Formats: sequence, structure tokens, C-alpha cells
Amino acid sequence: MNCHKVKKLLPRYVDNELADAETLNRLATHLKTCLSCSRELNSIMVLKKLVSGQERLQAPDDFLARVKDRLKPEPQIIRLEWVPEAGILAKWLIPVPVTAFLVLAVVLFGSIKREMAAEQKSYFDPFNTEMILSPSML
Amino acid sequence: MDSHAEDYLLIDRFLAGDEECFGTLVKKYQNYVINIVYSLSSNFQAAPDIAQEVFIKVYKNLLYFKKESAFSTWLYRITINTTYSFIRAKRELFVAVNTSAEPLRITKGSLTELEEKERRQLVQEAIGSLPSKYRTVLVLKDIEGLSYIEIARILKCRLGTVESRLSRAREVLKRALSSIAGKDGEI
Repeated sequence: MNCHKVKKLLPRYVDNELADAETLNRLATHLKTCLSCSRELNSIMVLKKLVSGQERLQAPDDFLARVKDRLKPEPQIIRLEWVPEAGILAKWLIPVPVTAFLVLAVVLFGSIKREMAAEQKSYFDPFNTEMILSPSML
Repeated sequence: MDSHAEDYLLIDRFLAGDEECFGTLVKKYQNYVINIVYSLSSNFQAAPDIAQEVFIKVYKNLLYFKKESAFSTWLYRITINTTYSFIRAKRELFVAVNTSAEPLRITKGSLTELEEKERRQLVQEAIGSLPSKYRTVLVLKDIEGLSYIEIARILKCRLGTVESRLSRAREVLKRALSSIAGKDGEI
């Protein structure tokens, strides 16, 4: 077995994934005589030990109780059918009456102004021949 | 009765209305789930909350578990997906936490000079900096001690993919931790 093949098999060897006895024997024989492959093996083993030596966490005592709490159904919010949604309010129920009111106000204001102008014209038209002059004006 | 058959029995009884069986499953796997979550996220504070989220998903989806794989395989898959969803959602927060942390002052020397806690923190940070596909395989193999075939089933990939990702993960990790010259030998 050459170094290339051994180095390829080393991760499996370290991870206990090599089951074939003959391959294991040949690998062990090579490692006894090859310093480079032995160093590579040591490097993987040290790294694996560093990673696997990480602290193990323990679940808190109330872990299951917390899971069960989160699984409890939340209280239902009752939505009344007749209450208009904000979207409808914003879209129709507010703009339509406001616009109608404004249009009506403009029309009414216009007609009142016209009437006032007509009244003023009847009092102060100097060319109106039917105008009756009062004695004080003479 | 082996562990898988026992899990299947608990699931059947839970689906038949025995809620206590769900509690038994949670107690059996809660530490595995919390440790995978912590190893993948490097977030000590959030790990229990994310693990709770995992079991809530399990509770809601047990009805759809088809028993085509071991329950643990299915559970680990949910754990990994939930953790990475959390990481994606909180990425900005993670960056903020990491940058605000006091940087570790590690120099070349023997491990006896280092506090155990600092060494573990350094290793955890190095694991956390791995791309997710390498990190997942490394955590499942070297921390959880799963076999290549179990990892391949969880990740739904080929054995060769597990091997190559694991080798790549170790190469990157080796470079990241090269400043440590352990008492057990050089990396």
C-alpha cells in the first residue's frame, strides 16, 4: 500500500469506518514504517479529539414543560363580521362621503354667490331705467 | 427492543392519543438536539429555544412521519434545518455579537497555558466559521459520533459526499486552529 492510498484511508481509519481486516493490516504495516503517514494520522486524531472534546450541554430541567407551554393553543381573537376592515374604510367609506360633501359645498357656494351678485346688480345698476329714485337722491 | 422500534412504538401510541409518549421522546432526545443546535449555531443562549422549536415542529408533523427512516434521522434533519433557519434570520445579530466579543489572545504554545474554556471557545468559533455544509458533517461525525451512513441518510447525500465534506472540513479547521500546538501533538 502506498502513501497516497494510505492518506486517503486515514479519515475512515480514525472514524472507525474501516471494517475490512486485510486493509486494516496493510494500513497498520505501512504506518509502522512511514513517518509522513504517521504524522498525518496523528494530525487527524488530535483535531478529532479537539472537536469531540467540546463541552456537552444539558437541557434545562423545565425543557419539556416549556415545549408543552408553547404547544398550548393561543386564545382565539373573535372577529366581528360587520366591522369593516381598515382597508375598506380607507378605500371607500371615508373618501366617498368626504368627496360628496366637498362637491356639494362647492355647488352651494357657487349658487349663493351668484344670487348675491344678482341682488347687488339690481340695487346699483345706474342704467336701469326702471329704477325708482327716492326723494333724498334728488 | 431496539431504539428505533421503541421510537416507532412511542410514535404510534402518541398518534393514538397518548400525549405522555411525546414527552418520553422529548426527554430521550432533548440533549442530542440541544447539542447539535449549539454546535451548529455557536449560540449558547438561544440553543434551548431553538431546540424547543424543533420539538414543536416534531409534535405538529409526527402525523406525516412515514417511518421510512429512523425517527432520530428525521429528528436530526429537522434540527439542522431549524437551526440554519434561525442562523439565517439572526445573521446580523450574530455578526454584532461576534464583533463585540473580546478577541481571544492565543499564542503558540502548549495547551497547558490555555484555560480550558478559552480553548473550547476557540474551537467552537473555528467550527462556527466553517461553511454550513462542512460544519454540519463535522458536527454530526466528531461531536455526535454518527456513522458515515447515518450522516448520509440525514443529509440525503452519498457516502462519498460525506467523506469529502468531512475531509474538507478538517482541512479548513486545521488551518484555523494551526496556532494551537496541543500537548497531544501538533495539528
